[in-house]
Amino acid sequence: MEGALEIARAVRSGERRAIDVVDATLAHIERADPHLNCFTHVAADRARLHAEALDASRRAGRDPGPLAGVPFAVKNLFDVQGIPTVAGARTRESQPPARADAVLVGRLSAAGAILVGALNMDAYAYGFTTENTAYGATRNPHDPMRIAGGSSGGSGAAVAAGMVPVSLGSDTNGSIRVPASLCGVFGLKPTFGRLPRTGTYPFVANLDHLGPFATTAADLARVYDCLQGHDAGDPGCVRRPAEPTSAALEADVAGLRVARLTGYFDEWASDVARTASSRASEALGATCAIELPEVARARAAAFVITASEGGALRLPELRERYADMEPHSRDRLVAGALTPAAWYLQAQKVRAWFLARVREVFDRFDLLVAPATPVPATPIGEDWLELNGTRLPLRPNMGILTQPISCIGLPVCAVPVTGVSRLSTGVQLIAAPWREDLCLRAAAWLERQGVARCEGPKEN
Amino acid sequence: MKNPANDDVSIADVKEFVRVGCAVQGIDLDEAAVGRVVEVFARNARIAALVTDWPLPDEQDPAALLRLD
Repeated sequence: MEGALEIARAVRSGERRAIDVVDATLAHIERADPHLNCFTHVAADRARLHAEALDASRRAGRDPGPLAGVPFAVKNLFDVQGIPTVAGARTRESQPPARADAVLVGRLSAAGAILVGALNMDAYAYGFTTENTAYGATRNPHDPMRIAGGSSGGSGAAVAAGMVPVSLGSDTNGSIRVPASLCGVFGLKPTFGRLPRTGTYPFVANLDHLGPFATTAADLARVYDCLQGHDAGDPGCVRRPAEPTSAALEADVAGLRVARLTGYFDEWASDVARTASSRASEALGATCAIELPEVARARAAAFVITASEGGALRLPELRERYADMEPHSRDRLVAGALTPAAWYLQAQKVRAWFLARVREVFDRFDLLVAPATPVPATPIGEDWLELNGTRLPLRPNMGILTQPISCIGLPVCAVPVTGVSRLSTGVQLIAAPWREDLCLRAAAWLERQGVARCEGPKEN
Repeated sequence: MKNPANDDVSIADVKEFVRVGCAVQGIDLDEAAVGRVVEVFARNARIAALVTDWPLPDEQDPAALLRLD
């Protein structure tokens, strides 16, 4: 699998033309996507025009950017100029085309990366499996009979299949970390408020994060560095200077105080997921296993906030177009719209309480390690999850280990752990607010130790 | 607070709550969908009970407090 930095180096040096990279990418998508269903829109003309302009600019002696010629694609809740932002929902196809790119699409394009298309997702981002009834299920490149995870399933699978080296997704309750884990790629959910959401279709304003997927920790860090910076268009975006991470990736992890999360995170994990967490923790020199307090209540808080805000945001559509809406999500949106305010307010209080307790933990530790998903990818169409003797509905529970962490906005890198299972499984590397650098440094260390690696799919 | 996760609220009560709640919100929910929504709402309620039935160890400020500083 060709990485982003490798492509950028070749294009910047003139060894390769961006147009050749783009043509090869489009050919790969044409060949592979009918089997995997990652893309809902391929922007071939736009990509070729951008690539030709970039090649001309480089020939004229101008700097083509740190991501010169790197193809990327975005979850279809990002605005892409000229096409409707469907956010996984057929009912939104009648929306007018976006008049401008989302801010993060613009930032990657300005860095020389080339947008090649938009990617499949769960409708409205409300799901963990990308079994979209309108656009079809996205299939896992490692086993096409299995889910890619969600809701950014197209983003995870397109990178895992090698169709693009980089993609963007969103993560409200785990929607970057779950597909990263199930597809075996690296994913970053930055601190809440770090990256602007301007020009994306919201789901839960209090919990929505955006972030990248890539095949290596170095690629992930470089892309993340290009995405940083305040934008006034998102009121949730914190006015904070960019804090580049790429330069510190080579540092080792000696001196980092690492703990493995146990208790809830063991209880709701399969043997495979627990083994992945232990293997990564040991490689990072974890000195102990600790329990966070009241994790199940934090997860419940995330669940209630999501149901309430998600339902409220979709009320106009529920009123006008209930019959046309995606069946997996519409009943959940209706139920969410009926959430009593007292539940919602109590959930926000629990969330604040949990954040305060976890902040205290970061006085003693720099990095926490936990499984990203309870199990590896399950078969498409599966409704139930058997977990340590408990039968759970699969679709809401694939994010049972990610929800408590995004609920309080902590930065997390999802990392694919090797040597644990035939199917991919990932861990979460969790740091204190604004310490994405530590998550990425630990991810790069695990990669150098051979504990984490993005492995291309075997021929299917 | 009464909660459908508790025994003191019946499924019939929840059905009525869903029907009335949808009517008040302007959602034209057909009768075939009521059962599905009730099922989801009851599940939400069971999960919500983890926060609503838990006395917080220390009282928190209102979550959405307006701050003008």
